[in-house]
Amino acid sequence: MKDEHTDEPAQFDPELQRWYRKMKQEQPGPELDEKIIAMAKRATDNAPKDNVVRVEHSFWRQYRWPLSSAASVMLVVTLLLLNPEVPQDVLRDDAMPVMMQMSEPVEVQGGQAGEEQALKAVAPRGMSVKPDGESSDVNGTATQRTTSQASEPQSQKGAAYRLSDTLEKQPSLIKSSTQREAVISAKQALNHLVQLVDSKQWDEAKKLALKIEKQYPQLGEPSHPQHQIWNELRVLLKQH
Amino acid sequence: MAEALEQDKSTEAEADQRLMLQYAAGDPSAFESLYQKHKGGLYRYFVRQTGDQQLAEDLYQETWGRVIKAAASYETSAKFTTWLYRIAHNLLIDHVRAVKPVDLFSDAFSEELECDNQLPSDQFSPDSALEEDIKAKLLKRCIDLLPTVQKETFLLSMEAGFTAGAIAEIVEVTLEATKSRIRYANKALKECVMNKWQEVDNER
Repeated sequence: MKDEHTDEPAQFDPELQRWYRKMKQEQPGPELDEKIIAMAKRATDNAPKDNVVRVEHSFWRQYRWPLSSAASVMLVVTLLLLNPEVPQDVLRDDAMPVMMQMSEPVEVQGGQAGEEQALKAVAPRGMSVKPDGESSDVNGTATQRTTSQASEPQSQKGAAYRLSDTLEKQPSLIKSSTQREAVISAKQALNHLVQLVDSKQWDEAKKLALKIEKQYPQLGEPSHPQHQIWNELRVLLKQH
Repeated sequence: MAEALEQDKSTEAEADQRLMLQYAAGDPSAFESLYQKHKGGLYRYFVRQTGDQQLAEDLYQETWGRVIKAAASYETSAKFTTWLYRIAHNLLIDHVRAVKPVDLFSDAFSEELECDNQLPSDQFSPDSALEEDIKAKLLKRCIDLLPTVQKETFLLSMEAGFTAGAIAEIVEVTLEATKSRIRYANKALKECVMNKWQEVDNER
């Protein structure tokens, strides 16, 4: 064989080629020819429609990746601008005490005010809490969560007090995170006072008692669970 | 001489590509020119491979149908004839996979019987022209007897003048395998024709 290179014709024996050329050269029938040519013409007739469909390189389709990226960036930036402090809260080391405070025993007692306060306490800043009875999934979930969190300590301690008692008196609690961190519950304040009394630091204890009296006037109510302890501590302090 | 032939072929290939692009742009007359140029070779490629005219015509029509459909996506990087015969080869392969091989053999045998009837009788004097005609008819029988892959290689070379490299590309085998097929087909056909010619000569 002479076909050493790929671009040279695949050469068969010259005699074979000659005999092959002498063979009957079959051709397709005229009907078949017409059928195929008609098929080709039909395809070109329909071609303009096809072209219209094919040439749909619209601006949005052509630049879909840059546009979608830009839209994503815009969305993220907008969210960050609307909620500038949320990521900071999450990342803060002292976020935990705040959360613990949130999960303190809570009972939402029927009233709208209590519910709103509970929602304010649970919902992150930037989320709006509807003041009226407009129910939504978010509200419903938040209320349920608050109630369920409250139910456990309630059964353990057999006592309940309104969250609004703690929060209503301190509207600044909701406004700034630094102030919120400073807030401690009446129970915690009393615990601190008990420690001061036990360690006989009477001056400190008296100062704290004054503060507690101002901040938690509800301790004077007999229905408050810490009422009895509060009274005992006051008596002790008066003696010194 | 060889260079001139090569140049003619490249010019032809360019002309085919131009016609195909013109057709893709919406000129049906370009397709007609292309069709007239390649219809015979492609038709015989199917007829001689299948041995069944109806089947050959179906596959032939389907091949052109695919060319028409794919005209818009035709790339000039591929030589038109290579592309055309690749479509044809793939259709044939699909058909061979779909039918029982027995059916193909039975067709081949019936074709062989027809060929026997066409062979010259004793009353013809064997002058050289007649001898060539007889050998051409014997070659047709011998082509039918070739193994399918060798037959296809032979037909691609004879009908479209493909190089070994182009045949390898169309049938998707290595160049070495293609060269080997060409070598075996060449030898087998030559021996077959000479043996049959000897038989005819002896009978006379």
